[in-house]
Amino acid sequence: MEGYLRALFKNRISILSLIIILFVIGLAVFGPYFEKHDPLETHMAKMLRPPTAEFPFGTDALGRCVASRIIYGARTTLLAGLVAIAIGAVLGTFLGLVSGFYVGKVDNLIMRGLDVLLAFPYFLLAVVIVAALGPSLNSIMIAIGIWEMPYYARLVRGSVLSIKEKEYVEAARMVGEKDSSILMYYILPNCISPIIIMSTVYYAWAILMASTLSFLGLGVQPPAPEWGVMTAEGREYLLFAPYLLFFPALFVCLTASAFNFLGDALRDLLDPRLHMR
Amino acid sequence: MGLFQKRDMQRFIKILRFIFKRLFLMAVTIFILITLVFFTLSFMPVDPVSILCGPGATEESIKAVRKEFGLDDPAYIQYFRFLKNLIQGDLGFSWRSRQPVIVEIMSAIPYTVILAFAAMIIATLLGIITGIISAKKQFSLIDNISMGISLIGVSTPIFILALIFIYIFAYRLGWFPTSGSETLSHLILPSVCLGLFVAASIARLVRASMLDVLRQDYIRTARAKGLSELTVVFKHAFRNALIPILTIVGMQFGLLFGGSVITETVFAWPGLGRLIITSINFKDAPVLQGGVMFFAGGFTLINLIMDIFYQFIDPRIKIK
Repeated sequence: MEGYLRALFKNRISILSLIIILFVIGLAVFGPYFEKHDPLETHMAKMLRPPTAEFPFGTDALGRCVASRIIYGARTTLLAGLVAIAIGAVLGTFLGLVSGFYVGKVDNLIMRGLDVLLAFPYFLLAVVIVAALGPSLNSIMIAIGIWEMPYYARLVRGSVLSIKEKEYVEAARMVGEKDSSILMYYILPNCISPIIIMSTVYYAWAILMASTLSFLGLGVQPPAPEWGVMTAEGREYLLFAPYLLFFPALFVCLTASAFNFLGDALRDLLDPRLHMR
Repeated sequence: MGLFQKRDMQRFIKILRFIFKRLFLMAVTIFILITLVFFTLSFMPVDPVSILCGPGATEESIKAVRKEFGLDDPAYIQYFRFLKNLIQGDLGFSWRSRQPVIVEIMSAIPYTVILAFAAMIIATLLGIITGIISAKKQFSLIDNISMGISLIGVSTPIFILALIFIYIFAYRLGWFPTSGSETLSHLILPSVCLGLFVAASIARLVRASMLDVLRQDYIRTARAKGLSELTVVFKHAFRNALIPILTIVGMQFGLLFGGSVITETVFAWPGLGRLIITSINFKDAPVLQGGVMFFAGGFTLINLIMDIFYQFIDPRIKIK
């Protein structure tokens, strides 16, 4: 009974997460058509206004509409996360496929190389890459992608190691299929579901990382609307205008939580073996 | 047989060999890491001369500075010179303060160590206690709530946690200072903030490994013997879960170190992480390079120590 309740609870949570995700995506895609304020337009007479009917989330120190900046910020954040995990997934999957398939020297070389990347504590690798490329939206997307690459590679390599022992792979080899087509048509399709499940979680990581880097001034540059940038700007007025922190922070946490909860539920549901990293 | 049996001796030698092998691997990793950082940062879009000389410098002083810092040499020569100096403990001079990089790093390290240590204690205690209670009362309200909170905790970027803390405890309640490092009360907000951030991950993982242990046969046996639930959980289950838990705690050092970069920056805590971020903002490449190398090198070293530690505490771990 309790197990059933928990399933229901988990399910309710994942439904809620899905609603939040759809809401944020909807906000990013359609929001700009409904928002009448320009996110960059300053209203000098209406600085630091608390939330009102005209400005539902208030205005910032330059009199810009916080709500419209949140909406346009959703576009930036969601897109940055998407590009980042795409970079990580493509590179990581390729390396994982190759290293899982060719056990031995190649495998060793790739995995040791990735170990070096993992030797950077948490987000320091992204910081180094951003420092080299200069702070911008493009750099953080590349940096986050490279940062997530080893995680994808390990995940895929693990799947490949078990899949390649399967009979259908053996059969394909007997028929004389080339290595490349075995990898592409027999092994890769069977790796897709763990990749997609974990991508939900990695997407949450990417969003968190993008906003953190932007908050530190290493990512998206002001005046562009982005949640991390907005938090950094709001920090100066924390005492007088806490809503400048509240709204961007709420959206970052809500979006990342939703993807994390969904990823968690998906892992439980589809593949109990992947449970807990 | 005496105190030392032959078997113990063999095991000891095995561990020694393992340690040397790992030390060698670590040296290789750190070397590759240093090389990687050096060449990655050589792409940094920065003209050191403009930082070093300031605007309106004469042709001559520019030339002198370029010569002094060896900026006209090709990258590989700069790299070998860097390695040579590194072996002698010389990381070059800061472009901003003109102080030796090693001095700046050494004065920052104690702050990072203090912060990381305090945060780790908070994270470990909180994470393990929450994890055990959750596992013991699996599916209960407490479990759901604490796991829900920890998942939200995992999804909250640490700078937001830090700013919320500053708003509530410094601005509204006025209990602690917002930033700085002069007194013990300056340490509390950053360490609690960083500790909570790491505790969220630890709690989730501890719960999983406790659940794993609680399902084992020997736990059922212990219960069947009529032992009290407290004895079962702490004497039988927790002891067996201790090794995975220690592994988990060890794995969180990366999160701890990375998180400290952000925490230090937000709270103006003068540690290594803040030094790294400031050096990026001032385009101070030598300090950035040295800071990152120390940070990543320290992290690798801690991983090694943890690995060796497991060899001693868990005889079941096979030595390859």
